[in-house]
Amino acid sequence: MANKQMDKATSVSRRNFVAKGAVAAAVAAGAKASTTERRDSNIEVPGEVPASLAEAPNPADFPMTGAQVFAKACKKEGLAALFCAPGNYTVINALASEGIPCYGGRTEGMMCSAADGFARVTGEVAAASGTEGPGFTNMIMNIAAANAARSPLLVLASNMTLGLEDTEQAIQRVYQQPTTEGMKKYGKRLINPHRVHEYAGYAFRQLKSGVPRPVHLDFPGEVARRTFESAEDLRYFFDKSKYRTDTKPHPSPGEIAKAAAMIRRAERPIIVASAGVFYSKAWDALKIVAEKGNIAVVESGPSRGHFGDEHPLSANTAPDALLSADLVVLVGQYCMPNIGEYSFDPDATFIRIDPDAADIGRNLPIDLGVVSCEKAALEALAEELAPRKRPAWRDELAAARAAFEAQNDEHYKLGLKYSQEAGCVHPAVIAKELEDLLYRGDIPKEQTTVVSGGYGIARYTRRRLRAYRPGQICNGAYQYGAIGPDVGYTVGAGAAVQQGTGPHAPYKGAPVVAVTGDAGFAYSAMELETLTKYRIPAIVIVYNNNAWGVWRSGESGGRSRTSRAQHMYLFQENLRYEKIGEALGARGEYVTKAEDFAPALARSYQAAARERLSTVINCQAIKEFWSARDYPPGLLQKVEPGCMAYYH
Amino acid sequence: MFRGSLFALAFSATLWAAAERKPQEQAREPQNPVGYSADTVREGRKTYLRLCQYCHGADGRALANPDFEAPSLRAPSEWRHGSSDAELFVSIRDGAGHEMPPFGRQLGDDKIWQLVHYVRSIGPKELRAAPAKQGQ
Repeated sequence: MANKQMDKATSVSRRNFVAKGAVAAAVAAGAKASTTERRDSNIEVPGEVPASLAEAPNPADFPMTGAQVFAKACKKEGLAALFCAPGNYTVINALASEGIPCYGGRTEGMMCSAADGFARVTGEVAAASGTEGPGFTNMIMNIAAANAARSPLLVLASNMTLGLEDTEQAIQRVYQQPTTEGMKKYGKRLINPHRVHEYAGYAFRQLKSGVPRPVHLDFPGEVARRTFESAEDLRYFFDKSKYRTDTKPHPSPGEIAKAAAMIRRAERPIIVASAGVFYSKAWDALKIVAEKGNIAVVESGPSRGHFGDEHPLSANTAPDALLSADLVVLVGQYCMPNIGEYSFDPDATFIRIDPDAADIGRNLPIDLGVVSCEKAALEALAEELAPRKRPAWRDELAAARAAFEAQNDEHYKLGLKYSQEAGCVHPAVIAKELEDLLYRGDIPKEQTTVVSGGYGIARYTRRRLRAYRPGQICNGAYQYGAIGPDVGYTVGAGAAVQQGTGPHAPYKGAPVVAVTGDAGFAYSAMELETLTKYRIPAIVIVYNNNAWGVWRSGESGGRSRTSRAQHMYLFQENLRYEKIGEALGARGEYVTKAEDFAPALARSYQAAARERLSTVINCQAIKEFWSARDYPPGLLQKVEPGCMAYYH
Repeated sequence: MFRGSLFALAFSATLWAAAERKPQEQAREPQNPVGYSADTVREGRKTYLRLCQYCHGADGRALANPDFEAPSLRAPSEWRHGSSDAELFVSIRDGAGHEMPPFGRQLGDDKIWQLVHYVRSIGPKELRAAPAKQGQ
């Protein structure tokens, strides 16, 4: 990535940040730092990497291989990025030659999560690839997480040759399609080379219509390497305008009229704006509907920001107000909660707007179902809805937001006290200082994209992380509860910002921040090397409490402090995760006191903005902070939907 | 042997004292002022679904919690912090053990008592309060 582009793109953030005191703060902090920071200056990015990235695309033309035909179709479909580990060589090399941005990482699984993270924060189709056999099966958890999140993920892999299947000749032979049963929207092991373009059409029809989920294609060598002299050698070789449509389903006027009437009658209506609002880019229409009817809006889904947290009608940080809603309009809520999982009155009236008729009424009984693309439905509703003021509802929302912030402040005061008592860093301190840096200082509050991961730490940081524009927060553990892929998601989200894709265009090149825990960090730490290799500037905050967050499950019924099971839940204490960062070309900071966290964060953001250097900030805590008895409130509860949500 | 006998006696006495609650202690325990009725149970259920199902499950059996093993609310004999109405009330209000947070600030006493009735409604019948008289 050219430095000049980076400089121009980050000039607002970097210059302001640097000029207005952050440097001074960082220097002052550095002078008296009790943290350590080192970076190994012997680590270098080899010259081949920037040279390779600077190479002009070399689009293929007939005669083409099957891989090239497929790559060309992907290019025309606007495939936004590929994330992979080497393998499936013919296909990934063809995608790179066509000019699709490609990223090669250290593990197939976490690069698959990178593709998922990219899709979650942009709404665009991203691809992941792994080699057949072990490379592919290394992606299973990550594909499952993308499926749970309803991500438009294109999963590619090489596969055992057709001619020698079942023979176990050579290595890496397995039937891969069955392994993704139940975790994809569509899959196919390509067996007829002449239909390779046709199956690109199958893939993108599924990825770009209805409710997205992963699509999985396997490429035996006979398909990827087959050479086609001309288009006549290919079956069903048509332009995308012929093999699919961009038309979206529109709502019935009668149903929209009913919905508008129900909203008019309600005293405290609320819209749950979920994944479908983001994927259909309906945030402008959503705002019009909300403001016209004075309807509260709360978010759910794998990303946040399609309704800004600062809006007076936002209920993202107003959990106390949710129970008052008498009408709930769920828009694009693909992952449907059961009764009571959302903190609404079970006796409220429910409307569901969804492109899939077969899903309306699942888990939650509805009073009205509207089958439609989310954007079309919201635009129709904006036309139909009569303006109405709801001052009491707005006041209640404001009071609920204030109460939430007051609770956060209380946690922070306790956090400072506990940090002092325990001689380490409480999660409430991390959450507050991070909020201050990202949204209350000199950095434009819409700038920084955050991967919100971790388990216990997330119960504190989610309360403080804010989204002011679409795709600003990637909700890491969404629905599948996988805590490991956080650094993988960071590669993808960081690449999206680096490229300036979709809603990230105004902040192209800006640093990204990730929050994760010590348990999750173990799964994806190696991708720090990928971050540093591609100069994707990321600050990875690792909450280190010496144990799995569920460590108390190893205790024996609370009657004794230890049991024969407990060792399985514990780590060694005071592990130095930041040294992994240093060893992989990033910076490392080890924070052991509450007052040292903010300076470490400031230094890290500066390094990211100025030098595109990533940092691991290892925050030392203790596992006992999760005890509601010893350190109340302990592990915080969550309320859904809203800023704390990650189940649905 | 003499010392062992003394120890056994003291241990038995301690156990007996723990098992027997004195009348004045029982009198100090909170009593449920809310009558047991379909309306009460319904209101308690609403609160339960919002605040309790995450740990104890939608059906009270606590089988789906991915974080830790919460007790089944259908089996009071397994509860670690007492199973009387008063003990249930106190656990909800003040928290219990390391995992269960207090809900006293979120819920007033009436809401907590409604919740107690709901928990009883999904547990053994013999532990449910008598139906409320009309007007209660």
